[in-house]
Amino acid sequence: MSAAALAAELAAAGHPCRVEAFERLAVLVPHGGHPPDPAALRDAATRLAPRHGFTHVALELLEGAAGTDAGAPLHRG
Amino acid sequence: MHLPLLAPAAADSFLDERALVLAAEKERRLLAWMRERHSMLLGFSGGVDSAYLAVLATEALGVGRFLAVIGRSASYPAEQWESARALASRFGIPVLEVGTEEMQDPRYAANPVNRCYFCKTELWRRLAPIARERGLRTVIDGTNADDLGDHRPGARAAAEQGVESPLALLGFTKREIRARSTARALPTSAQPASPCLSSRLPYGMAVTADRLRQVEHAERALRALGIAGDLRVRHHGELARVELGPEELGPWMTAIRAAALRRAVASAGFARVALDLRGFRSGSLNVLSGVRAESR
Repeated sequence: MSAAALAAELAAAGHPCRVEAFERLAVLVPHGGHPPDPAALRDAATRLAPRHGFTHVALELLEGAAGTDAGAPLHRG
Repeated sequence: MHLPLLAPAAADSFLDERALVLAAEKERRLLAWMRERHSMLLGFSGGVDSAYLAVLATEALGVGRFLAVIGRSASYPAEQWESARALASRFGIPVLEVGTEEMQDPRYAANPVNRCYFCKTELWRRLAPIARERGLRTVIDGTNADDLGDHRPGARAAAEQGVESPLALLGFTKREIRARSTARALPTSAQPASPCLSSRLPYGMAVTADRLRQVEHAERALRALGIAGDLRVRHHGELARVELGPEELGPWMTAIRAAALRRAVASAGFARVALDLRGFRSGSLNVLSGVRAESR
């Protein structure tokens, strides 16, 4: 497992973040709070993480990181 | 009654017409199998498989020759218990509850890869005498044909106690059980699988009542936010990793919703909360622990 290598590849793909390894789980801690394009980060991370030996990859949800999609409903209709 | 459901269309889309006919034929064989056994006791969790068996056995044998037994402990979610009791009440299923003490077994609490063996040994050790005392000839569980390929050390404990698995024996797949449950209007037909709470802890992390309560609290809080499909809160110490079904993962990644999700899980005492980017995978911790290879 190489957390540093995964972090470097994610940064190169436009998703700067710190990567912490919990055995084969990679936890991404995005720089600057919640990622602006979480779907793109998800695509990149799920594609790249296995190349570095991670079977699981998760995005840490940081306290106080909300605010870019105010007004979005919390419940499905 | 708490019976989290998938999208309504899902319940009708389990099988095509030819497969539905085949599933109905399997059900006829299952009913005949039950009548041949004369009387039986079922280990009843309230999940999709045992709920289906409980309804059929009640129909095939009547309340005098059938008993569904719920084994209760800290690893059994209260929500699942409520569902089991509600189903029993609605369908007239005879139910007995017994306490199980697998948590007191240090071999179980150490959470080895064969943890389920010790849990199921405790369960069947308590249920088998009840069957004998009541003259119930056969003890059954809800293992189905799809379960046979997974890492399931609990199956060995069942075999050692002579427990039979009619759904697996007659080749019922999960989709067939859901389809027949839909045909019988069982509220469990589209219910997500809900294995015991200990399955949320990675192997090697000690199973404690406090950790199980954390997981249960967090999952309940997420259900209260409206998450209805597959859901697991995996315990990684101070970090909780949330797995959601693919249909719900995307919407819950937006900043506002992610913040609500974080608050809900943190309320259970987790310092850090992470959302799994691949979403729910059955047996996810088996893959993480290297017990099972990744499915492709």
